[in-house]
Amino acid sequence: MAKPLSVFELTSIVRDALSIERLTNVWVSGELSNFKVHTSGHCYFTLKDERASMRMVMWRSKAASLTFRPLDGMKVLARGSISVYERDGNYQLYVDKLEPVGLGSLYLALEQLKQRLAAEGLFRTERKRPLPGFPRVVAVLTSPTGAAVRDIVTVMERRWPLARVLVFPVVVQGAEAAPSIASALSAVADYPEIDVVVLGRGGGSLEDLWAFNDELVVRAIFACPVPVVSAVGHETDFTLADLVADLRAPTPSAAALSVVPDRQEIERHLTQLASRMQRGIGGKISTSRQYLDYLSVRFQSVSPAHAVARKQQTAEALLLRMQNAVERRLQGAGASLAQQALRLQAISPLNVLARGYSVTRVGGNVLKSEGDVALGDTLTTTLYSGIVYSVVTGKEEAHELRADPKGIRGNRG
Amino acid sequence: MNFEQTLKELEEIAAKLEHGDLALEEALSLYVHGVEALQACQALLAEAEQKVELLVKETRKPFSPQAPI
Repeated sequence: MAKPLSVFELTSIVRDALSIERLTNVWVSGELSNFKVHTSGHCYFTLKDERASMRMVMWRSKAASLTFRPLDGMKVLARGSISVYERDGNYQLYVDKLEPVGLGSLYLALEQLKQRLAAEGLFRTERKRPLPGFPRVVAVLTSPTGAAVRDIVTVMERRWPLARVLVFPVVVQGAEAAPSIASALSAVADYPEIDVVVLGRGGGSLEDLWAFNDELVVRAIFACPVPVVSAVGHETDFTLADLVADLRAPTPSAAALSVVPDRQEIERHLTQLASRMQRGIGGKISTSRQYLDYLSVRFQSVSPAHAVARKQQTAEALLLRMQNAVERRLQGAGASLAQQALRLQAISPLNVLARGYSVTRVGGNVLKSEGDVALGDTLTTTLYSGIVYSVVTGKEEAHELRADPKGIRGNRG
Repeated sequence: MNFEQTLKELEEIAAKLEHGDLALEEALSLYVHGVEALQACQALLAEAEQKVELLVKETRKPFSPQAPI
C-alpha cells in the first residue's frame, strides 16, 4: 500500500485536476437559491436545476458590477471558473459575471411588487409629507464619489448655505446597493437633527437603477421618520422609490432645489418686511402725533385761561360795538348839522352880501324898482361890512340888467 | 438662533405693526424687537457657510465632494 496522502494533498490533486480549460470561463445557467451577501461584500449562493446544484461565490470586486439584485428563484446565467475550496473540501464556481435570464420575468416581478405595495397603501398621495421650509440638516444618501453628490452640494451652497449637509455614503448599484440604501435610511432615525433626506444617484440604465425598485428600499423610505426626496435621475421611468418618496425630483440638482429655500428670495422678503415694519411704525407715530395735537387743542379749549380769554374777547367785542354805535350816531348827527349849516349858509343874506351884493332900502322897504324912489330920497344900503346912506340924484329904467345873462350883445331888440 | 422661527416672528411683527391696534409704546417695542430679528436673519444669511460632512462608521468627517474618496 502506497503511503497515504494527507487530506490537503488529495484535495490539491483534485484542485489541480479541475484546473482545466473546460472548467475555466464557463457559462452555466440555473436558478438562484440561498443568495447571501456577506458583510464583507462577497456573495455566496447556489445555482441549481432539477437534477443538480452547485455552490458559487462572487467576490465583492465582481459583485460591484452587478446590474441587478439577485433574488432567490431568479433564472440567471453565471460565468466563472471551477475551483476547490480546500477547507470544506468542495468545489465551487468562482463567478465573475452574473446576468439575469429574461428581464421579462424581472419586470413581471416588479409589477407584482408594485401592485402589492400599492395595495398596502405605500404610494398613497395622502401619505406624502410636506417638506420643511427651512431645513437645518439635509441628509444626502448617495455615492460619495458620484456626480450626484457634487450637484446636490453645489446647489445647496448657492441657494441655502444655512443648511448643513450630512452625506450618508451608500452603494447605489449592484447587489449591495439595496441593503446599503435601506440601512442608511434606517440610520437616519438615529440623527434627530435631520429634517429631510435626499436619496439619489445620477442617471443610469434601468438596470442600474434596479436597487431603487427593491422592496427593502421602498419599505425603508416608507419607514423613514422625515420626508424623503427621491432623485434617481431618470426622467421617463419611475422607480418604486420615486413612487413611495414624499417628493420625486427628476435630477439630484432638482432635489436640492426643492429641499432648501432660495437665499436671494428670502433676502428680498426680508427687505419687504423691513419696509413694512418701517411704514407700520411711521404710520403709528404720525397718527399718535396728530392725536396729540388734537388733544392739546381740546385741552386748551377747556382750560380756565381759555374761558377768561373768551369772556375778554366778548367784552372787547361789546365795547367795540358800543364805540362803533356811538361813533356812528355822532357822525350821523354831525353830518346833518353840517348839512343844515350849509343850507343855512346858502340862503343867508350875509352870504350874498359877502359876494358883493347889497340891499338898498328906502323908508324901510327894500328897493326893487326905480319907480319906488323919487329924486332926493335917502337910500339906506346895507353892505356886507356896513351901511351906506345915499341920496337919489337920478333914475333910469334898466334894460340891460334884466336881459338874459347869457344874451349876446346885439341880440337885443 | 433658528432662522425659520425668527423669520416667522418677523412676519408676525410686520403684520401687527401694519394692522394691529397697538399702543404707541407697544408698537415701538415691537418695532425694536423686529429690527433685532431682521438683523439677526440678515447676519445669519451673510455669515452662513455650508458645512458638509461625510458619515463614516457613525463618525462625521468634513467632506468635499469635489475630491473623490
